[in-house]
Amino acid sequence: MKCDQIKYLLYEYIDDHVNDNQKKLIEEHLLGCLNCRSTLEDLKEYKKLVRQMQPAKAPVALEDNVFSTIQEKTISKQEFKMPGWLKIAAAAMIIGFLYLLTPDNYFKITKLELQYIPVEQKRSKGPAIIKKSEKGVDIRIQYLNKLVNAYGGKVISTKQKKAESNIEHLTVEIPRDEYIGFAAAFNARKPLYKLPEKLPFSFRKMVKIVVFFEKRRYLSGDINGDNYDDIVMYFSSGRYQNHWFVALNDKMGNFLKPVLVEMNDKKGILKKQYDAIIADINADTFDDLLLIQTEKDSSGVWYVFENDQNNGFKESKQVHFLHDSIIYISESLPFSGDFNNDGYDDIGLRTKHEWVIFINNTAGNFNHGQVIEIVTGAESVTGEYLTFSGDFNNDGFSDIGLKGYEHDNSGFWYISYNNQSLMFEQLKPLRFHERSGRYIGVKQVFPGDYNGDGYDDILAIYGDEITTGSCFISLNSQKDMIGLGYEVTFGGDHYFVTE
Amino acid sequence: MDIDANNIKSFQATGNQQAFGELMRKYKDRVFNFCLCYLEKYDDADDCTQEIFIKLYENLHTFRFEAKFSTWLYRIMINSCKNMKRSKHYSMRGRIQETDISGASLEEINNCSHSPEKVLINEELGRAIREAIQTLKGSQKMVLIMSDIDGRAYEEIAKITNFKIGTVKSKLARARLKVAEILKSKNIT
Repeated sequence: MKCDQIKYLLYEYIDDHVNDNQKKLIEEHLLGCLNCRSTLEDLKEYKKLVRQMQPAKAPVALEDNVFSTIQEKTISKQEFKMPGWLKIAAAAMIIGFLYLLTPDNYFKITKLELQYIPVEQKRSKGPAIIKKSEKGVDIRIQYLNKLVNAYGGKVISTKQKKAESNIEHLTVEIPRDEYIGFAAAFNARKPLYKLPEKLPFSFRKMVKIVVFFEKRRYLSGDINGDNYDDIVMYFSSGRYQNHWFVALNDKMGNFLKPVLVEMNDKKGILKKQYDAIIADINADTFDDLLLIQTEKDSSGVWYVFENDQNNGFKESKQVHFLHDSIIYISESLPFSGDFNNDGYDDIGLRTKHEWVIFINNTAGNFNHGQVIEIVTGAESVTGEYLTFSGDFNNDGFSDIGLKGYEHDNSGFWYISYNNQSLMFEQLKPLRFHERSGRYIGVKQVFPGDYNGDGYDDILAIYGDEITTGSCFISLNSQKDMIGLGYEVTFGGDHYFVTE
Repeated sequence: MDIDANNIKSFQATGNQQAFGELMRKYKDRVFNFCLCYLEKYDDADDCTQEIFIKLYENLHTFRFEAKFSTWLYRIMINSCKNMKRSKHYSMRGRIQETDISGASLEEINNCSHSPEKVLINEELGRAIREAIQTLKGSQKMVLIMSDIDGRAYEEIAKITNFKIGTVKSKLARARLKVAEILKSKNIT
């Protein structure tokens, strides 16, 4: 046996956990090896020191602190059932309305403007806003009634403009405890139905549109290691070909203006055609870029640009797989996630017939692929669909989801939870908020933790590779459900625009 | 049925805070010690321990007795420590608060029957070992703390981390060699 083999057995030897044969070999080796004898002494010393070490005691106030936080949380949960950015929106709305505290613990809200109320989603194309239902009742009032009832309140009176028959605003009463929740629900006034499936080119103020008809790809990941996922975009054609941009998460529900990312590419990897994913392959919490170059034989060569922690990306190096075989075929779709919760992101591939996961060996390379089985059960998953992965239940293990994008089975979203040992649970529908759209026709979906709560949310981008997409986020409600979507901005712009 | 299971069932059935309190009292030192070894800074460990028990409170109703409670708790601990380490809060603190003659040592001096000198020596030793542990990579660090500091068996560590026992052993061997070397280089005896 050589030193390299011996030294890893020495602690077991001290503990007398080696077999007789190993013991004999170790002792023979130690007789003639000064280095290993010295290592043995170091380990003995280490063992002694660790035993001497007194375990630290928890702070005395710990229990009190825990219980008081639990109590606070229980109270605030009843009042604030929404993320921080929504609280601000709700607070702004509260200021916008006049309210009176009535003696019986109800808020009276006057001037509840009807124009802010979203109508039910219609599948028709275009931003059709239907004000009357078949029976001639303003469906916004029906909706408002529903919403008010849901929060235990009631509509007291309505006011109409004198000249018109349309109702202008209403007065409602909402229980005090439910007020904030109601305000947030009411304020969610960016209904998805307003968006056409493909965005027109003439929109909003954009000073300089330089990147309009060029092919681009979006990705998402935590580029600055702050626990909030950011958006990355790169161009595969045109003037900005091979340029990478990142829009950092502003932690308030939106993103900062995109900035160019410094790529260290002396080898010229970026000049060739590639597919890309983002993953934290070295467990340093800063996500890295993985590029896959497709070879003529449909196999792929993988490269990683490691994130240099706010100093751009390091020079690329090739990523290896155990028993290097064809681990990529041009039609397969790569995705990433930490499927075994070791902090190192793994790679998944959806090939024509199966899902394969390559576990990160924690040294920057990957083991051979394991075919995973996702039981579709009673759900029939047909047609074309996207595979995505993310940790939707905050257990540290990435789950796998499917989203259909054919119109005949539009709206299907399924999730298979990773039950923590790479055994995936039976597929079940991913629940969305009852008023949420299903991002029909959207082909770019990026799960990620956009509000830093540990539960992955959905980011969907409308439009295709050429149109400038409009980005929506639907936050994970932490209760097996995806919430209402809202349109995000990039430093104030609704589109990922660079100047 | 063991005491843990009694307390958990009582909490699951009625939300009994006393039962939860007993669980917390039993595990708090172990959890805190783990966090301190993993995160190094006293305040971070305190925050993280609180967060772990709050998570435990919020999720205990989902515990289905399929695994040992301590294994389950360990998973929460590991996730919380990792999250804490990822948070900006953590890195900021790391820079500002370099010296850490923590409340713990003073408290210990007050509460402990040992002489203050001995407590300080122990504190020094603890700090030196924790410092050395910080040089380890994520999973090596985790495995070393579980095994050598908290005294978990290989089998249990394998269950918690989903590593094979062989992997646990090899990670441990590497981690021990590295920490032993660092302690030697610092002349800690």
